[in-house]
Amino acid sequence: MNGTNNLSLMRAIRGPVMMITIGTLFALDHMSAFSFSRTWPVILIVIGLMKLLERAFPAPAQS
Amino acid sequence: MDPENPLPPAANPEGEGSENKPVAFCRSCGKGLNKESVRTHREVVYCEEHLPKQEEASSQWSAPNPAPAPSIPSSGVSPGFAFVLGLIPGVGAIYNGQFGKAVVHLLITALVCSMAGGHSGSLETVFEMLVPVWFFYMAIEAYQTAKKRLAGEPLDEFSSIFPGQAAAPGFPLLPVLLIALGVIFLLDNLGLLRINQLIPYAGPIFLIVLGAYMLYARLRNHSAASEVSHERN
Amino acid sequence: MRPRSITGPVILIAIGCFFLFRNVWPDIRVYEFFSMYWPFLLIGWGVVRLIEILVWYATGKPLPGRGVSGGEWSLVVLLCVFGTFFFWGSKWSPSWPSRQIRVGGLEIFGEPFEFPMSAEKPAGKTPRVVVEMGRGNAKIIGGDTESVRVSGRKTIRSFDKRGAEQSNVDTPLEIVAVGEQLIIRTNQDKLSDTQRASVELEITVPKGAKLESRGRYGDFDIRDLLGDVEINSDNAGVRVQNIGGNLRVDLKKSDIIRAIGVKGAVELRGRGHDVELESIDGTVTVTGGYTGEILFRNIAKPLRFEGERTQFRVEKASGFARMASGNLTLDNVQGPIQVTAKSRDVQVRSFSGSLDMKVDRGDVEIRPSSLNPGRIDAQISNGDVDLVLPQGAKYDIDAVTARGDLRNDFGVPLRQDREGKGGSVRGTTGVGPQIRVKTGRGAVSVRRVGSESPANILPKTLPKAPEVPARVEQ
Repeated sequence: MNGTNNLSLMRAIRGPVMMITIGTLFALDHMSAFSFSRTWPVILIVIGLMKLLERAFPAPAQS
Repeated sequence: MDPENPLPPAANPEGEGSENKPVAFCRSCGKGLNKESVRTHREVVYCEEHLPKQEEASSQWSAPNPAPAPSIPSSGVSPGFAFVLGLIPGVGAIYNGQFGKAVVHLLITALVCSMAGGHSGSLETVFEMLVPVWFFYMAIEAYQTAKKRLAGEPLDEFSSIFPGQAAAPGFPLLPVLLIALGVIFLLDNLGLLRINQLIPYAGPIFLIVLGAYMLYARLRNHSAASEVSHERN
Repeated sequence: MRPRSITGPVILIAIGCFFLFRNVWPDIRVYEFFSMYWPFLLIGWGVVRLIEILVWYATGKPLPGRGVSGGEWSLVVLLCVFGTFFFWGSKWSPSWPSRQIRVGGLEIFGEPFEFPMSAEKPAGKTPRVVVEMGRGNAKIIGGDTESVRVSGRKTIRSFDKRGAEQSNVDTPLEIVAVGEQLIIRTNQDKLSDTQRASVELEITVPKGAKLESRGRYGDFDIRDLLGDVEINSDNAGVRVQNIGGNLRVDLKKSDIIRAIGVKGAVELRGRGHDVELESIDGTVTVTGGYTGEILFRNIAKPLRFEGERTQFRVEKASGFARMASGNLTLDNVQGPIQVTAKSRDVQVRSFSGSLDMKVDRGDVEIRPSSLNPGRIDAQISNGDVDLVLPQGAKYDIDAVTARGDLRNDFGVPLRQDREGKGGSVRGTTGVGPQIRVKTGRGAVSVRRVGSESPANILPKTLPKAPEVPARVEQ
């Protein structure tokens, strides 16, 4: 039960975390030299980290 | 603002409660479900009616148990011919009856060519080198697949593109790849790492990583196979 | 109970705050503000959703399958599209010292490589010179020569020397004669978007030259020319001194425009931050959206300022007209004077001639000089009016407030009447021009010079104009 809950938590925060990431990158683009064309790999890293975290919680046993 | 129906606590079929008491609710229609009628798809609860159809190839990485690969019929296959056709992007795969792979090959070819031709700064040399490597890879890959088909081995649409699933179910290949690519591109974009300075090391590092991964996959495969056989017994 | 997201109400509150903000501080350019800071909306939204989900998780409520729904994502995409659109549309950014940051000792855009540039061409005494440049600064000086001489350097950012040299070859410095015109071209537009070259030019032209310059991003410093000067740029700082002809400046954006000593007319258009015009012998026309500190000093001919929310014109400004942070001060100016302001405190001091004023919201101070008194007509919707008259001034006064206090320090000839919540101060101090002052809401006081409280005596010294920040690197 706990594993399921953790997993669904990870899935649920995926969207918000992406949103914050994208927002931060655009903010950097607008007000610093870090233009979006340079910082986009951060999105890859964040997606990878989120996936990795999801893996850290075992998928619940299913029928 | 929130059209998404939240997922109720996931059903645990072995859990307590009477037969008729709903243990979960369908994600699509919100119908209460008892433990008999609960269906799950990718850890999401549905009722019988709204259970999505199994997707085959797209859920390689999240589906714990991918659908068994349909084997592609093989008769009169020529590996040599497959090699020649393999030099033309996508055609080798089509020859082997793997249309999904053909599409992927075409996409990657387009990507590689555009990267090599575009102004990609320090990466340009790498991409230029990548083009012949990629074409030979496609040819050799078509040759190997044709040989496997001759030998009657089962192959799915995407054989050898996504090697991780069957070989190493537990290894987080995609996340690690994403992070690694992200870090490398980021460092390059920020000018902290010049990828063209790394070219001399790129080959050996690639080989080491590939070898390590294959080793990991083999070992993992062995233990997984033995676990499965234990469970079956 | 299925938890409901609080995003909807939060967005409503945010929109409400946005319009409140717009109404309370109308001077701050909200759309440009939005174009700059919209990513924080995204961050805030994400944080709200994250906290919400964590709270649900902590309280054991069921979690949604996805943290951000499809509908929300499409809103996010819309926001990104509009935000980017606005950002590139307004190209407004606060004055960051430079768009270049050093990380770990390496330049983000690669290493800078410098190349010297020079060119010369005979031009005669009164040529028409056109400068076409991309990113970079130009200093243009008129001299006793009959040729156009360009020298300077070009900085190219590249990861290797070979690429930089290629880029240098691709962007030659040219002086081309086209008909009457002599065109100086730096050809930076021939580079692709990923490469960047900036130039630092010093151009000497014959004194009698007419000058036209077009740039994209960078400063112009122009001096000692007898002909007309015209400047067009996407984003520039402009400093002009000692010009014999007319000056026309058309900028999409600027962080300073300063012109000192122009014999002809001056015309500014576009948007910008600070403006300083001094000792202009011709008419001055300023149209567009300007913020920051705007200062006009010693303008000999009519001055017209057409801002988005504030307009004024004076016949002549021996003193100064200064606009900064919600304030407009006209000091020692000659009428007829017209002032229209949406939301601004207005002081008109030591002026002669007539005054017509219309202010929506803001306190007003009117202080005519004793010379050449004229008719005064001030209509204020919401704000206090302080009328300070010189000793022995002869006026026919009618000052009314619909709602607010009255004060008459002038003394006997004026009569103070309360009418409902407001009242009036009326009377004649002698045969003279009319003063009609009316406020919808606010105090009205009529005073005599010398009777004011010390707190109201504002320093008449002007603050020094801010130093022009060096914009382009090196």
